[in-house]
Amino acid sequence: MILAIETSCDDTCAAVLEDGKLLSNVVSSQDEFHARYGGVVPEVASRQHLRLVNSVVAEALSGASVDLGRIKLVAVTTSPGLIGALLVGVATAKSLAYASGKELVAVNHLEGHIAANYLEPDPFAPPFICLVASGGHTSLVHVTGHRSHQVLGRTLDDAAGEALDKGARLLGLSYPGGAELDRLAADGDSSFISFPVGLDRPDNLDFSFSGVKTALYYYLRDAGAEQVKRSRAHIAASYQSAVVNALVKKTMAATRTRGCRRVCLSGGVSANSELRRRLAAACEGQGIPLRIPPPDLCTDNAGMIASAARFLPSLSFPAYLSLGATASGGLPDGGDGNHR
Amino acid sequence: MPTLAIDTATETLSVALGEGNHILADGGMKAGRAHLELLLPEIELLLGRCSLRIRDVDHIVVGTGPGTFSGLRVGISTGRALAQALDIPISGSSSLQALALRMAPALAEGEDGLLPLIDARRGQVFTRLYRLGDGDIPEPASDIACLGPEHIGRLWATEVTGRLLAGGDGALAYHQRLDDVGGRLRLLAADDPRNIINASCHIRLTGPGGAEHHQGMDTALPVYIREPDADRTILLRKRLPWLT
Ligand SMILES: [Zn+2]
Repeated sequence: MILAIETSCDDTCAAVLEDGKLLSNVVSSQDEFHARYGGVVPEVASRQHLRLVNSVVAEALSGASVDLGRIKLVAVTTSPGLIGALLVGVATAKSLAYASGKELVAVNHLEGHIAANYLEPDPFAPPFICLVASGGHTSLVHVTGHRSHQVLGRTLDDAAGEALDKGARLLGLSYPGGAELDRLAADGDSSFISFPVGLDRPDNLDFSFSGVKTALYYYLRDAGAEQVKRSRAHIAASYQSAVVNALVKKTMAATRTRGCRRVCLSGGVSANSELRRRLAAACEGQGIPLRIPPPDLCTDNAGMIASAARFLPSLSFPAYLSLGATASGGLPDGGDGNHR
Repeated sequence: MPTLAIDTATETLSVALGEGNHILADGGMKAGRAHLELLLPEIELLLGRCSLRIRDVDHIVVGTGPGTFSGLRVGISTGRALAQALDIPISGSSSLQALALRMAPALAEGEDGLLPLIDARRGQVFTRLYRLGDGDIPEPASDIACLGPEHIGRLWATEVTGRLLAGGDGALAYHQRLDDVGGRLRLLAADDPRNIINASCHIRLTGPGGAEHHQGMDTALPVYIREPDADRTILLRKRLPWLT
């Protein structure tokens, strides 16, 4: 049984996992605090994590009807993320493990997003191409084993979710905007404006969203208030379509270049209806099975961290006492490991 | 049954073990920004020196600052999680008061006020005026302030009649800019170890005959004093620094 803690950004999360099955998965969202500022304030996030983390852990344990004594391993996100936020989770996890005599597993946050796919009741095994798209990261990964992956592409500027949120903000929608943009776009014509897609070459699997964001900015500036007001839904649909286009195109290109005929989508942007629709259509057209974990496992949560921990080596006492946290850190490369 | 005390309000982390008012051992080091990596190994070392294990601890005391935010977060989340896992009580204790208690034996004839100064960075200090009360425990005689060291005189010019003793890492960092409160301020010598917070002072403060304090998770949270600096550090939702 694994107790996992995740505090890399603005959600305080804890979960209990047994044999690939989640017994509890608690997410305490800080959205209301950050909405006031129109974005995540790292210092506010860190303060909230410290206030919430112990009760979130207690809730995860009681939700799973277990006490700490029955836990075998403590898992925690150690990178990447906001450093002040990460260190609350890491200090908490280390101390829980130390005081209760458990081993500890350090998990990379992106590995967690990928491992959301390994959870019951419908585990999906490697190899597959995984698109992780959220407000904080956009990565295209060839997952060749439970512990081995190769990053094929990543964003060179904004993350996909961030690009959607910023577009929403330019259109005057309130923070965090991405979901509202999605709703507004549903009534719009996506061919209304042709926005550019960054790095649009089949051999390049990296992403760039700053161009489309700038194009939207200039369009809104030059079109005039009347025109913008009349065609808001069309503008939203066109903008969203440009972002989604890049994600779908490059994911499909990855399946071809790697000869890998399975696709997974993870991260908060998987909630975007246009992305789900277009990726499903593209995969279906190629006869490629597509897997999207349920929404609560796609957004940041500790269940996915516990899931990743099943396949990672654990640190025993006293090695983990000096474990730190790192703000930046890509996916570690590793050989395929054995199922725990 | 021993109490474990932790203070991480400054660049120096300090840990101590005690029973009642008796200090069993203390330890610490200049941690810089590596509190997270150094704190638990230091606690384990301290317990080992007393032939104790973490499960033997039955009370945790954490210094709640004010001080450096990330240092405080490491010390306090460590203390809180230890208390949670061991199912033992936790108390928060003021790091300024602990520093004042540490400085108190250095008070000279005619000095009746203690001015602990904790470096608040950005050219400011956290401070509070203390006077010795019953049992030589420093009691607060003002609110906590966060201000430039050149302004401390203005803050207490009317309240203070006697002479004052100042110390702490804030005094060491800003001694050249420190207002001398009309010539009534004396600084601890730069090499005096009483400039450094020692966690054993938290054991005194929360032990028998100590300062007024409360137990519970709610008391073990940082005293920030400063509001979050939202203007300069807003990130769009989940935009994380490794992307830029
Ligand atoms: Zn994430």
